[in-house]
Amino acid sequence: MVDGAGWKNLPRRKYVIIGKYLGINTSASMKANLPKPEKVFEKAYGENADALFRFAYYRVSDREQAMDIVEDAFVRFWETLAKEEVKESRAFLFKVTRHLIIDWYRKKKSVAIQDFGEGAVEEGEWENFMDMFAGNIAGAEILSEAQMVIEKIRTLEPIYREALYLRYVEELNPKEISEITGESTNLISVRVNRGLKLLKAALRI
Amino acid sequence: MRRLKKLKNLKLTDIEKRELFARVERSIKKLPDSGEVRFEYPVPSPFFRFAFLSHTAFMKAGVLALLIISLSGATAYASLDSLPGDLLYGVKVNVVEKVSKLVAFSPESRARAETAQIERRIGEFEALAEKGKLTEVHTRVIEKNIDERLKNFDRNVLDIKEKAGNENKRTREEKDLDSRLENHVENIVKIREERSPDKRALEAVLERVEARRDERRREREEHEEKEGNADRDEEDGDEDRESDIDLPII
Repeated sequence: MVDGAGWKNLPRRKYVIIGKYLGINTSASMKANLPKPEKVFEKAYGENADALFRFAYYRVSDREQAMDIVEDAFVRFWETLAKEEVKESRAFLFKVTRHLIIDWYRKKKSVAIQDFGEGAVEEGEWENFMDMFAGNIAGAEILSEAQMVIEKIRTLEPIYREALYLRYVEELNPKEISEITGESTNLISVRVNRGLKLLKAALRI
Repeated sequence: MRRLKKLKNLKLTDIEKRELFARVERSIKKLPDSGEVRFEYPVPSPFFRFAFLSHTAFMKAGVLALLIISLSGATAYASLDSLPGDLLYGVKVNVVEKVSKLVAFSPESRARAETAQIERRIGEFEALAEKGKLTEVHTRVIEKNIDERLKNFDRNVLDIKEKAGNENKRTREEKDLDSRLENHVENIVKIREERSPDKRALEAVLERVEARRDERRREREEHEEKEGNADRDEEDGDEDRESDIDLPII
């Protein structure tokens, strides 16, 4: 029996079908049923803050700077969330963080160019320039075992480092990685596989 | 790539995480059109304490415990189809069935559980015979179990009758057991004749069925006798009436 409040708790597909038969605008009701953006935001923070911080830190090699980037990423996440539903919060947050890191590198490089007159970096080369594990990230916070892995990853080309990091450290699937990097899922899968082979060879396993 | 996961150990401290959350909240509140937005710091759910399971030895111990629990469940489930002589038969009779009886609180439900187990034993006897694996030892094991079950059943039936305050009336549980045993009796006799070296098997079941049949026969005879007497009385009455009519009036 479909009655007033209970039927709204049905799975989405059944809800839409029943709504169609009853002549009810289910899309409006579904929207009313969505969790509050504040709740989505709090949940996303709880689940992703550490991962985003790590992702930023391994690139900028500065704890405070990584926290600033993560702060900006969550502010941008809220700006979008306040307007519309974000289906894949995790992928969205990683994507924003990645862009913020690129921006940070650009600013840093332009300052360097002004100060020291270094050669300009071509558009599109930022991703290679902005290299994971390129900086000096040795310190008390990095375990010696992790340090050893980092040293081996540094022997790989930059394109493989990021793919391996997102796949095996943050455990994102190729589809999520492709959403973050803007490249095809196939290309990501190829990079992950090749990167893994190279890393295994470097680790002699 | 377990080694790569070591990189995951780098995290914000609790203080840093709270501080960062406060910074994010302040920045959001400064945004135009932010309104009266309010956030609560996401406190990990009570189940988060089990997050330690994702680490090292705890994880292994947890996985092992889960494996044991699931395997014991699977063992119990697999044992249900086992027959005497099977590895899991002991688990079925001594564990699964005893545990299932723990949840039977009333004498009625206990009697029903005993009935089900008696029928299961008979089923095992028939299955072994069908497979040609019935041995004297298996028959004795099943018989012993059935004897125990029948004793328990009778004890529970007595309790039911005491509770009802009518010790002469047959209970529903007794009728149920009798009808179930009746269904198997023909097959049991056949197996006994063909497979048992001493032509004896499940005697307790057959004796019970026979006793019940005798009881029914006696009841029927008593009933017929009563009806016969009533008919005769009626006939006598008719004769009297006829004689009354036929007799000449003096």
